[in-house]
Amino acid sequence: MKKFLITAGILVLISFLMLPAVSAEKQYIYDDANIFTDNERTDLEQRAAEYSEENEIDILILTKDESDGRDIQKYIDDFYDEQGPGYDGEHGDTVFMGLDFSGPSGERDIAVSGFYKGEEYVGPERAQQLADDLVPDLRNNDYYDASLLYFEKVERYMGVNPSINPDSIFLQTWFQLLAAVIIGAVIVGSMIFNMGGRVTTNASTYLDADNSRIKSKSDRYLRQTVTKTKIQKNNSGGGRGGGSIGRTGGGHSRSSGRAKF
Amino acid sequence: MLVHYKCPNCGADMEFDSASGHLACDSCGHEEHIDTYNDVNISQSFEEDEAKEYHCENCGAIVLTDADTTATSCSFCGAGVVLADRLSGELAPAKVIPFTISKEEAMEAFKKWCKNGRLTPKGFMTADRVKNITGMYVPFWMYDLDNDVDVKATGTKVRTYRRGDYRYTETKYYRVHRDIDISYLKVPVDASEKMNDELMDKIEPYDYNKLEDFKTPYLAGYLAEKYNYTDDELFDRVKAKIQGFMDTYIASTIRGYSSVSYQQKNIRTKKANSYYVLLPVWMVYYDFDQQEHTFAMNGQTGKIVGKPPLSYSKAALWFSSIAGGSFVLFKAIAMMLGGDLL
Repeated sequence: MKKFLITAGILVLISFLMLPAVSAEKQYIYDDANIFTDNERTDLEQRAAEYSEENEIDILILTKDESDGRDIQKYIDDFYDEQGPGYDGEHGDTVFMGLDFSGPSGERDIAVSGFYKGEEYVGPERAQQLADDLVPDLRNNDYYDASLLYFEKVERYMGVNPSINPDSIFLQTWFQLLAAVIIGAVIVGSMIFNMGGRVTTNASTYLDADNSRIKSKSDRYLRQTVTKTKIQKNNSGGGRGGGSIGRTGGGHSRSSGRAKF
Repeated sequence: MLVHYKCPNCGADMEFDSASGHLACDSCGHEEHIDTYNDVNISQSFEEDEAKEYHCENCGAIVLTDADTTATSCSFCGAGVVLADRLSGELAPAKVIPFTISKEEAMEAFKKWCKNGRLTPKGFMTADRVKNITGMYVPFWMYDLDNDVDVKATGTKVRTYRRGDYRYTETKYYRVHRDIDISYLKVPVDASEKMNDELMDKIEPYDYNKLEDFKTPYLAGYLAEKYNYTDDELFDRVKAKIQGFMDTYIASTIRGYSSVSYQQKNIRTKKANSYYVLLPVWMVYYDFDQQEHTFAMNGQTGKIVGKPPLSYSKAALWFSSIAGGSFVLFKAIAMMLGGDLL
């Protein structure tokens, strides 16, 4: 007990002394499953720091293997509660990618989770979308590439208003160009078409309304068909969802999207 | 037989005046109401061989006409003459709408119209190459048509609702039957071979309140033609013309369905009446770029139809500014929502 207190005291002392250094050397990659090489890990740390700084949100990667029996989402939640990461301070804005390597290939889990600003910009739908997008790389065991894609996607999501789908074709230049060309062609086309004057008579121009009428009518019911389709359940209001919103044990709200790889 | 309208005041030739709707004398300004114009002043000359050539009573020159002309001007002295024998018997028009737009007004309106040409070449817009502008009474057939329509169709009403975890789509089918009378009054079809049908269809509508009983003095000073096709010959054309109108009417009687598919549409069209009428048209011939362009103006309402030349550079300019503007707008909105520049 005494030994523990001393150790703790020293640690606290060191952490106080080292505070600027610690914050400068924030850790982003917690590779407990050991899936990255040392080089990859150093590289990813550096990139994660850059992306985090750029987008003003901590972008973290957690990995675990079967030695820890918790579900990957629980693992992330507990990590957040205990470590309290965040760009804007303890328990602040954070996005996680959690990879769980327990189980054989195809049974492994990926979870993407956002806290605070992360929850806003990487909401349940986007988290789910992101998890799904990472699956192909993960299936190929390209964990490094998956991580780079994860960084890029998070950066993209952070830049796009949360209310719209970042992959929407309305944001694609080719679609905007096509729509503009179609509008121009339709308007100029109708101008050319109407150059010679338009037909301005319509169905009522020559109609003799007094002598036009329905002599007899019948609307007879024949039969009916009913088809039923199962409604896809979404945990939270999401169109192409799958993602969800939940709370950590410590009471922090977070978004979550997950997939198998 | 050639008919001249002499001024009872001075004896000069009178012409129809579109502003007052009367016969007017250019020399002394005297006006005569068409309904009360005394027949004594109509001078007629009978020719031996009427079908071929006419002699102007004024100057004795030969009035050259083609076989369809019913009113023209003497090319030597300019007197307006009416070829009455081509307007009698079977060829007598029932009604006429007189010109309400004078030649000067027509010219002015045409120039204004050219200036507004958003896609026409610059040189065309000045309208300084108008070769000729001619007031012409174009022969039309007007049909009163009674249609007996028998429609059989299948209509569906679709309702969706959810119960538990399922969404149900319920489609009810109905056999729809309609027996309808649809009548049209005075649907015009141009009966002149020379006139472009498309042009004449676009020049409509005319205001039928101004439809007058035909009297030859209306034609004095204008060109006029007789019909080349009889009402029976043009019956199919008028039927085609009202086809779209009837489809609209039929659809308006079948309401409240999500979708309607027609099994059968039996339409029997009966001609209740047909009238031979003359309608006023200003024909404008415009030489541009060594090509003659023909325009027609409704002599009553002033509506102008006819294909003006197209300036490709102007069209390209319009296209690029509209397309470019929309693209910039889309891009701006997208970037506001967080899209990338590229």
